[in-house]
Amino acid sequence: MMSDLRSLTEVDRLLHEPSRAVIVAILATVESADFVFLQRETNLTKGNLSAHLTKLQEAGYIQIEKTFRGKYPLTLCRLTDTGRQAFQAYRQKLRQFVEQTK
Amino acid sequence: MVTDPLQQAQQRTLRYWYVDGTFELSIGGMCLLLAAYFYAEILLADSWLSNIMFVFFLLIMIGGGFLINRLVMMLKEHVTFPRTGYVSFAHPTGARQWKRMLLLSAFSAFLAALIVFLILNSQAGFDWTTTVTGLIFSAVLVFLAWRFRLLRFLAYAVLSVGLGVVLGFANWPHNFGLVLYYGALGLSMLLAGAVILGNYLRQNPAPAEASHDE
Repeated sequence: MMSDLRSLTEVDRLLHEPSRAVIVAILATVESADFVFLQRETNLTKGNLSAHLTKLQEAGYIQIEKTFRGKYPLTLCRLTDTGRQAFQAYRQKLRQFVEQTK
Repeated sequence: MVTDPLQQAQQRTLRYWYVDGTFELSIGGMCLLLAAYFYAEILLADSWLSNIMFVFFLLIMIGGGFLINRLVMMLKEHVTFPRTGYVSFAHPTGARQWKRMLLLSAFSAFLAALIVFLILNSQAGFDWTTTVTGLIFSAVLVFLAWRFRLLRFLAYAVLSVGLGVVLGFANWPHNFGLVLYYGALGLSMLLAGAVILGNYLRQNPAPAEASHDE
Protein backbone atom coordinates (compact mmCIF):
# COMPACT_ATOMS: atom_id res chain seq x y z
CA MET A 1 0.00 0.00 0.00
CA MET A 2 2.85 2.36 0.86
CA SER A 3 4.43 1.74 -2.55
CA ASP A 4 1.07 2.46 -4.23
CA LEU A 5 0.86 5.78 -2.46
CA ARG A 6 4.50 6.52 -3.26
CA SER A 7 3.80 5.87 -6.96
CA LEU A 8 0.93 8.36 -6.82
CA THR A 9 3.25 11.05 -5.46
CA GLU A 10 5.40 10.54 -8.54
CA VAL A 11 2.69 11.65 -10.98
CA ASP A 12 3.28 14.74 -13.09
CA ARG A 13 2.03 17.54 -10.80
CA LEU A 14 1.53 19.88 -13.74
CA LEU A 15 -0.97 17.48 -15.30
CA HIS A 16 -2.42 16.35 -11.96
CA GLU A 17 -4.76 19.32 -11.95
CA PRO A 18 -8.23 18.66 -13.43
CA SER A 19 -8.42 21.68 -15.76
CA ARG A 20 -4.91 21.20 -17.16
CA ALA A 21 -5.49 17.45 -17.56
CA VAL A 22 -8.68 18.15 -19.56
CA ILE A 23 -6.90 20.77 -21.71
CA VAL A 24 -4.13 18.31 -22.55
CA ALA A 25 -6.62 15.43 -23.08
CA ILE A 26 -8.50 17.56 -25.62
CA LEU A 27 -5.31 18.61 -27.39
CA ALA A 28 -4.20 14.97 -27.50
CA THR A 29 -7.18 14.12 -29.76
CA VAL A 30 -6.75 16.95 -32.27
CA GLU A 31 -4.03 18.62 -34.29
CA SER A 32 -4.85 22.01 -32.76
CA ALA A 33 -7.69 23.80 -30.99
CA ASP A 34 -8.25 27.46 -30.29
CA PHE A 35 -8.82 29.39 -27.08
CA VAL A 36 -12.60 29.68 -27.62
CA PHE A 37 -13.03 25.93 -27.99
CA LEU A 38 -10.89 25.15 -24.94
CA GLN A 39 -12.78 27.73 -22.88
CA ARG A 40 -16.15 26.21 -23.85
CA GLU A 41 -14.98 22.70 -23.08
CA THR A 42 -13.33 23.48 -19.75
CA ASN A 43 -15.82 26.12 -18.54
CA LEU A 44 -12.90 28.18 -17.27
CA THR A 45 -12.80 31.96 -17.25
CA LYS A 46 -10.52 33.61 -19.81
CA GLY A 47 -8.04 34.52 -17.09
CA ASN A 48 -7.90 31.01 -15.61
CA LEU A 49 -7.57 29.33 -18.97
CA SER A 50 -4.85 31.78 -19.95
CA ALA A 51 -2.93 30.99 -16.75
CA HIS A 52 -3.19 27.22 -17.28
CA LEU A 53 -2.10 27.53 -20.91
CA THR A 54 0.89 29.64 -19.92
CA LYS A 55 1.98 27.00 -17.38
CA LEU A 56 1.67 24.23 -19.96
CA GLN A 57 3.55 26.32 -22.51
CA GLU A 58 6.36 27.08 -20.03
CA ALA A 59 6.74 23.35 -19.38
CA GLY A 60 7.05 22.77 -23.14
CA TYR A 61 3.85 20.67 -23.19
CA ILE A 62 1.96 22.89 -25.63
CA GLN A 63 2.74 25.42 -28.34
CA ILE A 64 0.66 28.59 -28.61
CA GLU A 65 0.35 30.50 -31.85
CA LYS A 66 -1.43 33.84 -31.98
CA THR A 67 -2.85 34.70 -35.36
CA PHE A 68 -5.99 36.01 -37.10
CA ARG A 69 -8.72 34.18 -38.95
CA GLY A 70 -10.53 36.82 -41.00
CA LYS A 71 -11.40 39.61 -38.59
CA TYR A 72 -11.17 37.44 -35.47
CA PRO A 73 -8.02 36.98 -33.37
CA LEU A 74 -7.17 33.32 -33.04
CA THR A 75 -5.07 31.69 -30.32
CA LEU A 76 -4.17 28.21 -31.53
CA CYS A 77 -2.86 25.61 -29.10
CA ARG A 78 -1.25 22.32 -30.02
CA LEU A 79 0.34 19.57 -27.98
CA THR A 80 4.09 19.09 -28.39
CA ASP A 81 5.75 15.66 -28.47
CA THR A 82 6.95 16.29 -24.90
CA GLY A 83 3.36 17.06 -23.86
CA ARG A 84 2.02 13.96 -25.59
CA GLN A 85 4.58 11.72 -23.87
CA ALA A 86 3.90 13.36 -20.52
CA PHE A 87 0.14 12.85 -20.93
CA GLN A 88 0.58 9.20 -21.88
CA ALA A 89 2.88 8.63 -18.92
CA TYR A 90 0.40 10.40 -16.62
CA ARG A 91 -2.52 8.27 -17.78
CA GLN A 92 -0.42 5.15 -17.48
CA LYS A 93 0.53 6.06 -13.94
CA LEU A 94 -3.09 6.71 -12.95
CA ARG A 95 -4.20 3.44 -14.52
CA GLN A 96 -1.47 1.55 -12.68
CA PHE A 97 -2.48 3.15 -9.40
CA VAL A 98 -6.15 2.29 -9.90
CA GLU A 99 -5.25 -1.30 -10.82
CA GLN A 100 -2.99 -1.72 -7.77
CA THR A 101 -5.57 -0.37 -5.35
CA LYS A 102 -8.49 -2.49 -6.67
CA MET B 1 -20.19 3.80 -21.46
CA VAL B 2 -17.30 6.22 -20.97
CA THR B 3 -17.01 7.29 -17.33
CA ASP B 4 -13.48 8.69 -17.28
CA PRO B 5 -13.80 12.52 -17.41
CA LEU B 6 -10.69 12.79 -19.57
CA GLN B 7 -12.11 10.28 -22.03
CA GLN B 8 -15.43 12.14 -21.93
CA ALA B 9 -13.65 15.37 -22.87
CA GLN B 10 -11.89 13.57 -25.73
CA GLN B 11 -15.14 12.02 -26.91
CA ARG B 12 -16.87 15.43 -26.89
CA THR B 13 -13.99 16.86 -28.91
CA LEU B 14 -14.29 14.12 -31.53
CA ARG B 15 -18.06 14.75 -31.72
CA TYR B 16 -17.45 18.44 -32.42
CA TRP B 17 -17.26 17.78 -36.18
CA TYR B 18 -20.90 16.65 -36.11
CA VAL B 19 -22.29 19.38 -33.82
CA ASP B 20 -23.64 21.77 -36.47
CA GLY B 21 -25.44 19.51 -38.97
CA THR B 22 -22.97 20.16 -41.80
CA PHE B 23 -22.16 16.43 -41.93
CA GLU B 24 -25.84 15.65 -42.64
CA LEU B 25 -25.95 18.44 -45.24
CA SER B 26 -22.91 17.01 -47.04
CA ILE B 27 -24.18 13.39 -46.97
CA GLY B 28 -27.64 14.60 -48.06
CA GLY B 29 -26.09 16.49 -50.99
CA MET B 30 -24.07 13.44 -51.99
CA CYS B 31 -27.16 11.19 -51.83
CA LEU B 32 -29.12 13.59 -54.06
CA LEU B 33 -26.26 13.56 -56.58
CA LEU B 34 -26.39 9.75 -56.59
CA ALA B 35 -30.18 9.82 -57.02
CA ALA B 36 -29.72 12.15 -60.00
CA TYR B 37 -27.08 9.80 -61.42
CA PHE B 38 -29.29 6.69 -61.20
CA TYR B 39 -32.23 8.64 -62.65
CA ALA B 40 -30.07 9.83 -65.56
CA GLU B 41 -28.98 6.22 -66.06
CA ILE B 42 -32.64 5.23 -66.55
CA LEU B 43 -33.38 8.17 -68.86
CA LEU B 44 -30.29 7.53 -70.99
CA ALA B 45 -30.60 3.74 -71.06
CA ASP B 46 -31.08 3.66 -74.84
CA SER B 47 -28.56 6.38 -75.63
CA TRP B 48 -24.86 5.95 -76.51
CA LEU B 49 -24.15 7.84 -73.25
CA SER B 50 -25.20 4.76 -71.27
CA ASN B 51 -21.84 3.19 -72.19
CA ILE B 52 -19.87 5.90 -70.43
CA MET B 53 -22.18 6.50 -67.48
CA PHE B 54 -19.65 4.91 -65.11
CA VAL B 55 -17.37 7.89 -65.82
CA PHE B 56 -20.07 10.20 -64.43
CA PHE B 57 -20.37 7.90 -61.43
CA LEU B 58 -16.65 8.26 -60.74
CA LEU B 59 -16.92 12.03 -61.26
CA ILE B 60 -19.75 12.21 -58.72
CA MET B 61 -17.93 10.04 -56.18
CA ILE B 62 -14.60 11.87 -56.44
CA GLY B 63 -15.49 15.39 -57.68
CA GLY B 64 -18.80 15.62 -55.83
CA GLY B 65 -17.23 14.40 -52.62
CA PHE B 66 -14.41 16.91 -52.98
CA LEU B 67 -16.74 19.83 -53.75
CA ILE B 68 -19.09 18.97 -50.88
CA ASN B 69 -16.13 18.70 -48.50
CA ARG B 70 -14.91 22.15 -49.58
CA LEU B 71 -18.42 23.53 -49.06
CA VAL B 72 -18.69 22.03 -45.57
CA MET B 73 -15.26 23.37 -44.65
CA MET B 74 -16.26 26.86 -45.86
CA LEU B 75 -19.46 26.67 -43.83
CA LYS B 76 -17.53 25.61 -40.74
CA GLU B 77 -14.95 28.39 -41.23
CA HIS B 78 -17.65 31.06 -41.49
CA VAL B 79 -20.40 29.74 -39.23
CA THR B 80 -19.17 27.18 -36.70
CA PHE B 81 -15.59 28.08 -35.80
CA PRO B 82 -16.21 31.80 -35.03
CA ARG B 83 -19.07 30.78 -32.69
CA THR B 84 -17.81 27.76 -30.79
CA GLY B 85 -14.12 27.62 -31.58
CA TYR B 86 -11.67 26.38 -34.14
CA VAL B 87 -10.50 22.77 -34.10
CA SER B 88 -8.21 21.09 -36.58
CA PHE B 89 -8.51 17.32 -36.49
CA ALA B 90 -5.42 15.18 -36.83
CA HIS B 91 -5.08 13.19 -40.05
CA PRO B 92 -3.39 9.81 -39.98
CA THR B 93 0.10 9.80 -41.49
CA GLY B 94 2.61 7.16 -42.55
CA ALA B 95 1.64 3.53 -42.01
CA ARG B 96 -1.74 4.44 -40.48
CA GLN B 97 -2.65 6.50 -43.55
CA TRP B 98 -1.76 3.61 -45.89
CA LYS B 99 -3.64 1.15 -43.73
CA ARG B 100 -6.75 3.35 -43.82
CA MET B 101 -6.49 3.85 -47.61
CA LEU B 102 -6.09 0.11 -48.16
CA LEU B 103 -9.08 -0.68 -45.97
CA LEU B 104 -11.22 1.94 -47.74
CA SER B 105 -10.18 0.68 -51.16
CA ALA B 106 -10.91 -2.95 -50.23
CA PHE B 107 -14.31 -1.96 -48.77
CA SER B 108 -15.21 0.10 -51.88
CA ALA B 109 -14.16 -2.71 -54.22
CA PHE B 110 -16.24 -5.20 -52.21
CA LEU B 111 -19.28 -2.91 -52.35
CA ALA B 112 -18.91 -2.28 -56.08
CA ALA B 113 -18.58 -6.02 -56.76
CA LEU B 114 -21.59 -6.81 -54.56
CA ILE B 115 -23.81 -4.21 -56.25
CA VAL B 116 -22.77 -5.35 -59.75
CA PHE B 117 -23.40 -8.98 -58.74
CA LEU B 118 -26.86 -8.09 -57.40
CA ILE B 119 -27.77 -6.08 -60.49
CA LEU B 120 -26.67 -8.90 -62.83
CA ASN B 121 -28.33 -11.65 -60.79
CA SER B 122 -31.47 -9.83 -59.72
CA GLN B 123 -34.44 -12.13 -59.50
CA ALA B 124 -38.05 -11.18 -60.03
CA GLY B 125 -40.03 -10.25 -56.94
CA PHE B 126 -37.48 -8.44 -54.78
CA ASP B 127 -35.04 -5.57 -55.38
CA TRP B 128 -31.95 -6.81 -53.51
CA THR B 129 -29.73 -3.99 -54.82
CA THR B 130 -31.69 -1.30 -52.98
CA THR B 131 -32.09 -3.39 -49.83
CA VAL B 132 -28.39 -4.24 -49.62
CA THR B 133 -27.49 -0.59 -50.30
CA GLY B 134 -29.74 0.38 -47.38
CA LEU B 135 -28.14 -2.23 -45.12
CA ILE B 136 -24.58 -1.18 -46.00
CA PHE B 137 -25.37 2.50 -45.50
CA SER B 138 -26.98 1.73 -42.15
CA ALA B 139 -23.96 -0.34 -41.07
CA VAL B 140 -21.73 2.71 -41.69
CA LEU B 141 -24.18 4.92 -39.76
CA VAL B 142 -24.31 2.47 -36.84
CA PHE B 143 -20.50 2.47 -36.74
CA LEU B 144 -20.47 6.29 -36.60
CA ALA B 145 -23.16 6.26 -33.89
CA TRP B 146 -21.07 3.84 -31.80
CA ARG B 147 -17.72 5.56 -32.51
CA PHE B 148 -18.89 9.07 -31.63
CA ARG B 149 -21.77 8.19 -29.27
CA LEU B 150 -24.27 10.00 -31.53
CA LEU B 151 -27.77 8.59 -31.08
CA ARG B 152 -29.26 10.50 -34.01
CA PHE B 153 -27.11 8.40 -36.35
CA LEU B 154 -29.00 5.32 -35.17
CA ALA B 155 -32.22 7.00 -36.32
CA TYR B 156 -30.66 7.57 -39.77
CA ALA B 157 -29.56 3.92 -39.81
CA VAL B 158 -33.13 2.77 -39.06
CA LEU B 159 -34.41 5.06 -41.82
CA SER B 160 -31.85 3.63 -44.26
CA VAL B 161 -32.79 0.01 -43.48
CA GLY B 162 -36.51 0.86 -43.59
CA LEU B 163 -36.21 2.54 -46.98
CA GLY B 164 -34.08 -0.31 -48.32
CA VAL B 165 -36.53 -3.00 -47.23
CA VAL B 166 -39.69 -1.16 -48.32
CA LEU B 167 -38.21 -0.32 -51.73
CA GLY B 168 -36.94 -3.89 -51.97
CA PHE B 169 -40.50 -5.18 -51.68
CA ALA B 170 -41.79 -2.43 -54.00
CA ASN B 171 -39.34 -3.84 -56.58
CA TRP B 172 -39.32 -0.94 -59.06
CA PRO B 173 -37.85 -1.79 -62.45
CA HIS B 174 -34.52 -0.45 -63.85
CA ASN B 175 -32.92 0.52 -60.52
CA PHE B 176 -35.64 3.09 -59.89
CA GLY B 177 -35.57 1.82 -56.30
CA LEU B 178 -32.05 3.28 -55.97
CA VAL B 179 -33.29 6.65 -57.27
CA LEU B 180 -36.04 6.67 -54.64
CA TYR B 181 -33.71 5.37 -51.90
CA TYR B 182 -30.98 7.99 -52.45
CA GLY B 183 -33.58 10.70 -53.09
CA ALA B 184 -35.54 10.02 -49.90
CA LEU B 185 -32.42 9.51 -47.75
CA GLY B 186 -30.78 12.63 -49.23
CA LEU B 187 -33.81 14.82 -48.59
CA SER B 188 -34.15 13.43 -45.03
CA MET B 189 -30.48 14.10 -44.31
CA LEU B 190 -30.72 17.63 -45.75
CA LEU B 191 -33.80 18.30 -43.61
CA ALA B 192 -32.12 16.91 -40.48
CA GLY B 193 -28.96 18.92 -41.23
CA ALA B 194 -30.96 22.12 -41.70
CA VAL B 195 -32.82 21.60 -38.39
CA ILE B 196 -29.57 20.84 -36.49
CA LEU B 197 -27.82 23.83 -38.08
CA GLY B 198 -30.80 26.06 -37.20
CA ASN B 199 -30.73 24.90 -33.56
CA TYR B 200 -26.96 25.33 -33.43
CA LEU B 201 -27.18 28.90 -34.75
CA ARG B 202 -29.95 29.77 -32.25
CA GLN B 203 -27.96 28.35 -29.32
CA ASN B 204 -24.67 29.93 -30.38
CA PRO B 205 -25.03 33.56 -31.46
CA ALA B 206 -22.21 35.18 -33.43
CA PRO B 207 -19.51 36.65 -31.14
CA ALA B 208 -18.63 40.33 -30.84
CA GLU B 209 -15.56 41.07 -32.98
CA ALA B 210 -12.96 42.34 -30.54
CA SER B 211 -13.76 40.07 -27.60
CA HIS B 212 -13.24 36.79 -29.41
CA ASP B 213 -10.40 35.42 -27.36
CA GLU B 214 -7.58 36.18 -25.03
